[in-house]
Amino acid sequence: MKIMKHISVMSLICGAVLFLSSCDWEQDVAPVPTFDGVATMTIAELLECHTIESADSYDTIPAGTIISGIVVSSDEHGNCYKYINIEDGTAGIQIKIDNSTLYHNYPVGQRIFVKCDGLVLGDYRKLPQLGMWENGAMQGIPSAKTSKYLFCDGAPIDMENEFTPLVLNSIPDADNIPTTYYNRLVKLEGATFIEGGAATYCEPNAATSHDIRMSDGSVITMRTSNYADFISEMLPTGTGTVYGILTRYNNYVQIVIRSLDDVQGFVAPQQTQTIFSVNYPTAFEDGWIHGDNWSIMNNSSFSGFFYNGSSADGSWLISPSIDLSNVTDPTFSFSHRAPQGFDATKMMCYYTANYTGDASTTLWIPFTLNAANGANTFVNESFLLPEGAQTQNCRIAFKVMGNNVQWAINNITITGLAK
Amino acid sequence: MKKLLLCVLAFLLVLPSLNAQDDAKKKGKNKKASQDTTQVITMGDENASVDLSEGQGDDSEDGDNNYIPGLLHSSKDVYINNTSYTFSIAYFRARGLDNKYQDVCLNGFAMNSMVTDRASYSQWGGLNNIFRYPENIANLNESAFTFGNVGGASNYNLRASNFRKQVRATYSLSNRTYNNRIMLTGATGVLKNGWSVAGSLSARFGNNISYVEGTSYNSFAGFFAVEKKFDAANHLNLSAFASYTSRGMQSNAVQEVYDLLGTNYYNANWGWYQGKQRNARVRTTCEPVILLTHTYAPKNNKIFIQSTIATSFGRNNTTALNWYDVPDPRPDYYRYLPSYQIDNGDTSGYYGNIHDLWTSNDQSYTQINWDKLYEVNQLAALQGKRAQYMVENRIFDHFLLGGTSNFNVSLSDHIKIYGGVDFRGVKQKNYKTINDMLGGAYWLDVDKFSEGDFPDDQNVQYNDLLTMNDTLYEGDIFGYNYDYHIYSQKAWAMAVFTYNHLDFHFGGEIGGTEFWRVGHMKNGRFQNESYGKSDVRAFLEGGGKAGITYKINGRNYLVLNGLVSSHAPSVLNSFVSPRIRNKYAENLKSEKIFSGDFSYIISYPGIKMRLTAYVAQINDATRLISFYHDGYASMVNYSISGIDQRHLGAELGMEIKLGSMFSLILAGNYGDYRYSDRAEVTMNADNGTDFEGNMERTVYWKNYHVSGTPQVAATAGLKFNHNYWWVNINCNYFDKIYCDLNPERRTSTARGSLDVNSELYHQVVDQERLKGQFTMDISVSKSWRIKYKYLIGFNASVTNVLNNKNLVTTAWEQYRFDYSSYNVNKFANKYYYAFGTTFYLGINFTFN
Repeated sequence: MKIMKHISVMSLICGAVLFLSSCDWEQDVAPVPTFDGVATMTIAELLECHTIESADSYDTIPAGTIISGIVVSSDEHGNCYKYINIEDGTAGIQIKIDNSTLYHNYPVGQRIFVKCDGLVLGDYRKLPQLGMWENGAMQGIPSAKTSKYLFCDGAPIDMENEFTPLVLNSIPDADNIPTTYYNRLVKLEGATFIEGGAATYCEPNAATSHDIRMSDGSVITMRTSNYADFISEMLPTGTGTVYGILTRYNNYVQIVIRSLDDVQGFVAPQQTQTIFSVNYPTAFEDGWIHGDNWSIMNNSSFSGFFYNGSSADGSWLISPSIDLSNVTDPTFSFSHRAPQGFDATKMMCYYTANYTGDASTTLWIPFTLNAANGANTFVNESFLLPEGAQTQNCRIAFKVMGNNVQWAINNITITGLAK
Repeated sequence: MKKLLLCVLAFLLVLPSLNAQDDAKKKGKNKKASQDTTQVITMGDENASVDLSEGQGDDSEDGDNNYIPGLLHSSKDVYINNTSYTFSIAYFRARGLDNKYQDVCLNGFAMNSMVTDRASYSQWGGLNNIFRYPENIANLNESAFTFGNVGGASNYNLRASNFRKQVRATYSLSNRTYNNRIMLTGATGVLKNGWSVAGSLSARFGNNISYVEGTSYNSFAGFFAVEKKFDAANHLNLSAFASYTSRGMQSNAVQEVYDLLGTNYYNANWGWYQGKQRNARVRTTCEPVILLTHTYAPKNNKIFIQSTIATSFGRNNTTALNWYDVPDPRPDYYRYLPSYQIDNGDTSGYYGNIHDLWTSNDQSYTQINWDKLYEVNQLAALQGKRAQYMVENRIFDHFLLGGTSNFNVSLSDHIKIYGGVDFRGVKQKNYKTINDMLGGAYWLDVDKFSEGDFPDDQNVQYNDLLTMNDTLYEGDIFGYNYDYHIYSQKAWAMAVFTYNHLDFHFGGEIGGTEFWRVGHMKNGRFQNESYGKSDVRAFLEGGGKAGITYKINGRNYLVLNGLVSSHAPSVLNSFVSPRIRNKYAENLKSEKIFSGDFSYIISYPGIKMRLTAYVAQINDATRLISFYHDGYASMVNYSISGIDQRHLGAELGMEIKLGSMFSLILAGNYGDYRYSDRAEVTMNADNGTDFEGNMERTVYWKNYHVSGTPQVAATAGLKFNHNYWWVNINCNYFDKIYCDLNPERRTSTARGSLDVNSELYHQVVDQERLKGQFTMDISVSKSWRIKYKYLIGFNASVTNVLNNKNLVTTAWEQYRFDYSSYNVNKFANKYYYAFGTTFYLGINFTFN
């Protein structure tokens, strides 16, 4: 009884401490920084402060100016260096910062405010920039002073769903593009790399330009730094969408991608393979099976398979077994000529995936042939072989029935796209 | 000064009135304590578990790891008794409280520094035979000699009459911080003419077998006390002591360095110079104390009054390297490590060389290269240029004068009143001088961090415009030079009631602290607020304390204690840039403490146990840290206010007798110490950098752990005691050891836009928890009595027998932080590890 008393007092003390110490102690979270203030002008209005001349120059900005925008550039993959781009829907601007790792502090999608007092608006080869002017050129904001000018506000937005980039389908001359378009994230639709499949994004030792042709034939230069982490990747072939920062270098219009994720929807055209081809046969090759009256004709006017005769039950010309299991969309084509006129009841074409070794017991699936529209003219036929034919043992066959039939066949080809 | 005079005056007024008291009998607590002490000393019990703590205790003198062992010697408390030494290897702090929350008194006079709030054990380092058996007040219990503090209090009786007539010689050998210790102590006891004299001499030296390479230790200490008993009630005692200690210190390092070298005891502070290991960080302290104590203790035991006038003065000097416009001379500077080369993309050439230098431990690279520093300086001198490297002294000189008078009065068998007053003032001078020019020609006193920042204003770079063009040589003052002046006054009283089933007490304290700064330099960055006297800040202080003990029966007790108190902030944390500016931190507030504990105590002959649940809430604490802020490329002073901490936990101490010779010990602490709220920060820069409205920020560290101690510690031990043999074997476990936080990493500024679910975010904000560790200790002691006149004692202890070298005693995040790449390993956490196996052997000889 006494022991029970001891234990109960002790349990009480231990219990209380354990209870308190096992409370849910959630780790404190610092909120993302916010900016207490509003933009005093749009970026488009800011751009009006500076007149671009033939040489690099700068203009001052009205005192108290604050602009705001969403960060659209990123140095995470090394293609942007010591700057960020922001845009506010009216225009974009490049902010030069003397620091080589900016993507943590100013990630894509981050809204930032810029207190412009102490900064100037200038240009480098006609591209507008915000920064400092020293030694006759625009310079970056010193890293230790960024907190004086740049202020993050809130968490980065979801760029995919909350941001609409400017879409370009055609690239005018540099001077015909509004200044407000530069330094923004743009989406090039229907873009083709002229050197697609033939060059890498960048040479190892120097920044490299590659032209992109738009669907209307206009051209824009993609400029890539050799410090980017994707330089050794091949430029894609085909046509697709390219996102990037629109810039200019004097009169060259350029785009700077942020990573390979900016190059989208480029599907390499699939390679067409010829799986089976008989063009000018000189004999029945191994595997061909043919009935009476089928022969090989090879003269100046025609070469190919030729039937000439009559057959009440039908005379077959059956191809060797063809392996179609490694391709998609196999296409079967051939040319034919019926000197006495085409008659679909006398001249027939089939395929099978299950040749039994005996044509009469095999399940043949017919193609519908076009009527040849001239006695002596070759007509092309082309069919997509359906899924049922795409096996390792596909055969095609021609069958002739009736009296006094003449039928010439050549250019038998099956092509497909490699899987 | 006026206040100081006042306090002395008040004190002198009190003295004669005490003498006039009649002599009656007394059975006060102090007397009892002194009797206990005498008994223990007479027994000659060189109890290993007490004596062995000294080696560890000496580590506490290192300001970089401010650990001072807790209440070491309590002879009664079953928890403290069995944990204070065994837990000290892990720098365990009772209830997670900093030792500034524990009052340490000598003859009733509190020795806690008025600047740091901590008692400086180095002031009596080596005088172990004198500072041996304090009267301890555990945590919140009532005390007869001081109001007390949340961490408890202890009082050392240093009166000559307290030491029994005997002479005692001790020699100890150890491989910890020093190798040899010799102590000689003697006392006359109370002579027939009423005089008593006691004295002690001590030397500690040798570093041939010290645990950490490059460290050194030389210490000499002396104590002298003389007391005269004038009549049956009045005693006057003079005690004086001093300890000179000079030690080459150990550094901490990042794990990368420890791993490269294969040892967790790497010391970056030393390098070879002229064939010897030279340490750049040598701390030399000598701060003597003189106490004049009057005791009024009539024989009726109904009244006891003790009054002490005390002074303490002397120097605390730590050397350090200083450099100007040249590479950092510290071998483990982050840019000299392989990881830095990798981060910068170099994995072959330079990286390979550096990696090899570390792994092969090329000590011209992995330690300070003194020759190189001399070479740079000598080349500069040849060209008539200033020195670029030097060794500086960082000096604190203090002078303290104060007085305390405490009384205990028994009003009846049931009621006692305790109380006292305390007045004191201190002036501490803080400055730097040139210790060694390292072959350089001269030094210029300019600030390396501000020279380039203000090209238009040349004055800005000078630390002292009054002497701006002086060339400085060894011994000259430079850098900063200022004084703290601190005064405090206190009065306290406590009523203690004792009844059959119920004891209770309550009391209060009221007082005030005033301080100011006086600058002796006119700093170029802050010309109008660096020189001369600052404003005076005054803080009202006070507290209340109460407790109740319900005695269920003679074997079972329930005890409930509580305390509230309010303290002035430490002067160290009160100025934004104390080295150069008179400007006070914003929101300077008193620190508030609320604490309570509830205990269940069992005391049977065969089993003793105390189980306690405790809580301590500290609010509005302040802290000032200085560091290089990579975001602003500037040294910043980071003044943190509103620090709230909650310390919860339970303590268990249990001792079970197993027959007549063995006892089983079970003891432990389960704590949970956290920041209970966010804190506010104001930043300032010594170099005058303007933070452009970003000076203030909130530290989001609520529910993060308070560091500095394992929050879980447990020991299971077996004690053997027979025929003057004592053997102790303890197995210990430590856990919940947390890394100290860099507050800046828990601000919005540092977090920026990091996604809370990202790995990077967690790398930045998560607090490192170190792995729990086991250790084992064995100690043996034996004494022989010869003809009732001589006593020979021997003791040996081996700490951490299993040689566990993975117990982290101190871990902290560096304050530097990479704001752009968020690479937390660039300035990785730093660690101190507990020593592996160490030993302590002692032999002592006593004759009466």
